[in-house]
Amino acid sequence: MLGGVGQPRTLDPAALGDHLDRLFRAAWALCGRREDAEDLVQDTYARVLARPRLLRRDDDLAYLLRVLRNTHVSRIRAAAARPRTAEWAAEHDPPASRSDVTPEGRLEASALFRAISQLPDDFRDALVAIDVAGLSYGEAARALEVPEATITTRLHRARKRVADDLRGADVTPSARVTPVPGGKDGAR
Amino acid sequence: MDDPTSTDPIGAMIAATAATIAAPAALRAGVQREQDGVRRRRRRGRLFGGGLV
Repeated sequence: MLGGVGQPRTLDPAALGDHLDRLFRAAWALCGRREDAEDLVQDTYARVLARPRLLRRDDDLAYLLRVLRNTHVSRIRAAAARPRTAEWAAEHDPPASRSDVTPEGRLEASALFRAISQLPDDFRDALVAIDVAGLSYGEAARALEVPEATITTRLHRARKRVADDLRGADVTPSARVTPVPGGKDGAR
Repeated sequence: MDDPTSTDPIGAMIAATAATIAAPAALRAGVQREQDGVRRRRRRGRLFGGGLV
């Protein structure tokens, strides 16, 4: 997959769909909300596929992750310039589309991604690259354009903060919300 | 290739939870449409505007 340092190669549009699941997970962890993640991924692919791309250092996923993060930052800046709307409570989010995910799994994923999205940007980006998207330290360092040692430090701190946050919010399976059958709002 | 999540329990938990998530069907269809658009443009011989990244 890696083209090797100094060996440019053209990004293959047909192969980009292979990374969709991992990119969506990363987007959700960046945004904290599933709906925003869908928009972000769609925008990212539209940008990447708008014209041919020549990669010099990254593999496809690392490149996509970098575009995803940059697109996310651009969207945040644009949103900051617009009137803010009220936050939609997370418990009103519709259930995930994957049928083999348990209700417990969905609640934990939502809580986890929300916690990750609230990390300081540098910590969040390192954790998303490594733990959510599955990049190696080297790939993450190239994607984020920082030394590997920096990735290691930020990752360690990010993981600790996420663990502390989740522990404090008590989102263990015993604390899960029981869906109300037949209810219109909040039904899962 | 190194595996940063294999020895850290928090990293492993995050990775395992993330792995349960799949992209929604609507998103997958949208990305497929983008890719189909690229194929159509190539078949028509239209070069994309601008230079390469």
